[in-house]
Amino acid sequence: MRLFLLLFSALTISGCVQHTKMLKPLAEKQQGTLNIQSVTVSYSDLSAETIMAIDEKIKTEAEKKGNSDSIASQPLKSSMAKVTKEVLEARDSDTNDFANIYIEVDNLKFVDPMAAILISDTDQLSGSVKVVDPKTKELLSEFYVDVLKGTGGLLGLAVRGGGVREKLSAQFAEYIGDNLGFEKIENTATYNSASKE
Amino acid sequence: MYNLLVIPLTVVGAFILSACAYDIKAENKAATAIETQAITASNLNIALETSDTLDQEAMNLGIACSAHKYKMRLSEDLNERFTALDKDGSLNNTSAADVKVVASTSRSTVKCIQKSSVSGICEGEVQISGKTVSKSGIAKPFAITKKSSASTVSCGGAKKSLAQASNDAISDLVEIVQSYN
Repeated sequence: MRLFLLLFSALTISGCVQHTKMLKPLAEKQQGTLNIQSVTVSYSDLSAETIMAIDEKIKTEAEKKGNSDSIASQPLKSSMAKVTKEVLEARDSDTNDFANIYIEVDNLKFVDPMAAILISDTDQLSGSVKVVDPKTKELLSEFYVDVLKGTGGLLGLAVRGGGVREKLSAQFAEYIGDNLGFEKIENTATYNSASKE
Repeated sequence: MYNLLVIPLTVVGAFILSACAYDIKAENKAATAIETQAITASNLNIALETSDTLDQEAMNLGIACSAHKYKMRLSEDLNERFTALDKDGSLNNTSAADVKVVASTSRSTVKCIQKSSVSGICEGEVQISGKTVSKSGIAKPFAITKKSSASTVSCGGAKKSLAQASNDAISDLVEIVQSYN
């Protein structure tokens, strides 16, 4: 029975999920040519209260541990903007074709450890992305990104490790880069917040 | 204990993977009928022009409830409302119209997020843009965006939020046209 439930949840959570839904694709001639100038993150009405509560909890825990200067202790809007900028800077172009990225986060959800141990659960970061020309304010591209990472069992929890928010942000940024036609660079998604402290 | 696991797991699976197709106009039938009945005929002869984008399937953003399909029929909704508003109770596409409504583009999206293993929230958004043209030929563009959210257990909130958002968007357009009265 447990094996059936594990298989069911694996099929449910993984599989053929589309991590990006395109609302307005970037013009073909601009694919791979943009130079990302800034990244701004905000919270949508769907999630603002929940995410701000998470931010407050993270800040309190960081202050207790005495590492309130680390990226992992910053509010999501700051840490995600920083991580996204770093990931995209490694992949974008050095042209004068500048663009600003605006992310509105709809959901940040962490694994429930009990559910993860018994069956499995997911970390999730989702939101809409707008790519804007900073000079003309023209909307160059718009799409929706949903990052879902499953975790199952004690081993899964152990492997999941820390810096989950930053890892989700890094994966989110990778999907942005993919949608903008940037070349893939290996290992940029394995963002480790510890190495940035 | 077994039931405590199976029920939320089934709901989670249903939330993500369940697949059904919904006609938003049919879902919204009762609310639309009430809105249409509440409209008093105006002194305006109204002409209406719509595009295919008003009847496209809503785009389901995100992964949750992504297997569901939501068919929009905004052009029919607009037809019904403006027919009720029209002086003679019938729309005509002639230059004799006091106001011509051109609903040229539309985009409908819905997204659902999981709040817990047994509940979530969905937000539907409907955009309609175009122009109204007076008898004297003066065109005024309009761009309407309406959002609505609804709590959900197994994706029911998605069609509810889309239905409400489309109802609200059409109501706004009706108000714009009523201002020509």
